[in-house]
Amino acid sequence: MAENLAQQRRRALRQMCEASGVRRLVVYGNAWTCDYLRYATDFAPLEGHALAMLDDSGVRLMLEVRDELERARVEVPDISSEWAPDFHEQARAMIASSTAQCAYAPGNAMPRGLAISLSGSVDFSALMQSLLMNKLEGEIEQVRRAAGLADEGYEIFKHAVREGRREYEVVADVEAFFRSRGCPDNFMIMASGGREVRAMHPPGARQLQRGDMVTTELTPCVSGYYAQICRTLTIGPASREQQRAFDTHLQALEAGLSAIRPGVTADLVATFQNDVFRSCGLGEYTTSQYTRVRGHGLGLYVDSAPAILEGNSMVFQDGMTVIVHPNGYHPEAGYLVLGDALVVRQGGNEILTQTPRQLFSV
Amino acid sequence: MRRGWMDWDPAEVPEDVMRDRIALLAAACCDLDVDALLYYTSFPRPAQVSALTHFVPFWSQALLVVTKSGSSMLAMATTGRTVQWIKRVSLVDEVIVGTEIGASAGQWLYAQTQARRVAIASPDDLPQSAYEGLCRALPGAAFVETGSWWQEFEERFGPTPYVSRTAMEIAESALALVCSVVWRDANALVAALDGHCRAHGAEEVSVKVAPDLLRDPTPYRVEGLLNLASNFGVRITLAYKGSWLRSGSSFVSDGQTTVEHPGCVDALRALRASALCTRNISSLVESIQVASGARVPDWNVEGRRGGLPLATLNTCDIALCDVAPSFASFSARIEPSGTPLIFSTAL
Repeated sequence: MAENLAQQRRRALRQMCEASGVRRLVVYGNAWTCDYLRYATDFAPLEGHALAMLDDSGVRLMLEVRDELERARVEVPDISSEWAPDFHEQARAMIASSTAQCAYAPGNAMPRGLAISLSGSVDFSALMQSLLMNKLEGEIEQVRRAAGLADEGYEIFKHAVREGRREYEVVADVEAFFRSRGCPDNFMIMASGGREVRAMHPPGARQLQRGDMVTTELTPCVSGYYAQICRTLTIGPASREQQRAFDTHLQALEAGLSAIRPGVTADLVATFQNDVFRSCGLGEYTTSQYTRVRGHGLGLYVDSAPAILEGNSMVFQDGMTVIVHPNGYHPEAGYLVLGDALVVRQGGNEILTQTPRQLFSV
Repeated sequence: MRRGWMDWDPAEVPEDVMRDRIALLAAACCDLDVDALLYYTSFPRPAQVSALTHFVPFWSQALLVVTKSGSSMLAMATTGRTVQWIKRVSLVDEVIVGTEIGASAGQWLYAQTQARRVAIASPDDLPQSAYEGLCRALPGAAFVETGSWWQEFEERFGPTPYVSRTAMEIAESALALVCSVVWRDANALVAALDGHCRAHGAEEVSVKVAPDLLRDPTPYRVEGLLNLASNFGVRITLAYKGSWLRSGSSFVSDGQTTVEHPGCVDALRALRASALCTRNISSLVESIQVASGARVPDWNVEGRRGGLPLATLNTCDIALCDVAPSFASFSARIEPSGTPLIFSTAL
């Protein structure tokens, strides 16, 4: 019988453990940091702590919230799951139950209650991150499907944005659409207004007005894999300033897309984008006061490595899935977003999101 | 990730309420002989900081510092452009941003009070990297745990009546939609409930479905396309302005109409009536058995504990407390006539 994607991932992880001499791997997750755990178990927690232990005898999954145990038994029936109301104590006991060489991931998210029992173990985070970044073809296909859904979601967003509606009502329409398509999760933030807008955020009660610039990033999930699209629209015709700001962002996006290929660094891709702003006298707006990153990896998490930032020497490789997005503040128009998801390919990148790169007006 | 309405409205959560809570903690610092209290928050563990500042990170993590002089500071792992939003949706004296929340909090504390003794609520839940940053920034300081001490405040620091009532109204109006039409596919049902809750202001919602109660009464998150059988169950987990609940029931459809299963109607009515007289959990469970004549093979009472908004407080497996706190969520599986049914409600 052919392996499913979860089985393929677990085999890849097992091979990496064997090659590293690791007999036992402890993987932590919660609703925020879920990608390592989903890779290892195919389970993404929604509430509380979760910890998996993988060794020769199989996979054990420990869950802090009882409601999550019920879900795990249905969603990942091949894994032995248990409820751990005294999570840290029970997880420490599980970790101490074997003397085999132990490794853990992800180190930066590990709670102190578990970290103290992992001292002396191997931090497996970097190796596991390489599995998360360098995708199997089956994983790329899921990101491709998620990108198609992101395009459809943006069409819904465009129809949902109307003068007088509140931001959270727009989000409700988009989320309902994704649920109707069997998509259980979507990361979405937005903003509306003018030059005063400095960033996107969860929706507020602000009522949309004529002349607003409305930004969003949609990040739907298919089989655990996220793809993202960033677009901006105006309510009513775009002003000259809004169009000029958009044109600069479009130029920056195209510069980033032209730079990204296997073998180049995240630093270079960010620099190509930032140079466009610098050449327009907008260099000040490339700092963390006005923007965050110029793109990032996509996969089992909405914002994975590598972060596309100046100074990041991480090298892109064939098969990585990322978004390039020169999102940031423009002094004439406010916060503006534009970005497309793609697969980095040796023979030419595959752009996954197909929504036209234009400043839409509704 | 939070993606529903996040805002602070002083008419719903008065500023005085939040300031009084911080003042109580500042006074407690003196009782505990500590210079400051630290609370960790991320969106999976938002309850403590949300109760004190109304802040919930839609993304990332933060440390709240409350000093014995009554000032509060939030060290948030984000960039500076989000400070404006954080200040708009929460009540905190100061916001500092940076990737190292432990180091940021420690440096601020050192500058403010040269803290020598600091209490951390639920230190086991703090990411080790944040703890190490804190230790580096406050060399020589002693860190003590406040877990059991905090529990005394949890009941007093609950959601305001307006907020909890609104959360319940959103959930109830969503469940009413289940009987409004005949649902054949679970995706359309989940979409309708999810969209309804968010359009009415829910900060977060997660709809789980048991698509065929006769096969398996376990509700789970729908991923991919799924049909409903004639007997199905729904469980909504919903947050409104930091107030969380679970609400749900079992339904039966004959292809023309959908109705709430009578066994659930009876059990819920009895449970709610009983909850007006007693918060004793054993008595609440007994009231269901008496009213419906059903076996209750599984039940679970949840509420705020530590950073979790819905942690198990008592269950058929393990008794962690005897009394249901205000606005606890009660979920159960009952078997009135062989058919397993599920329901959940806030009490």
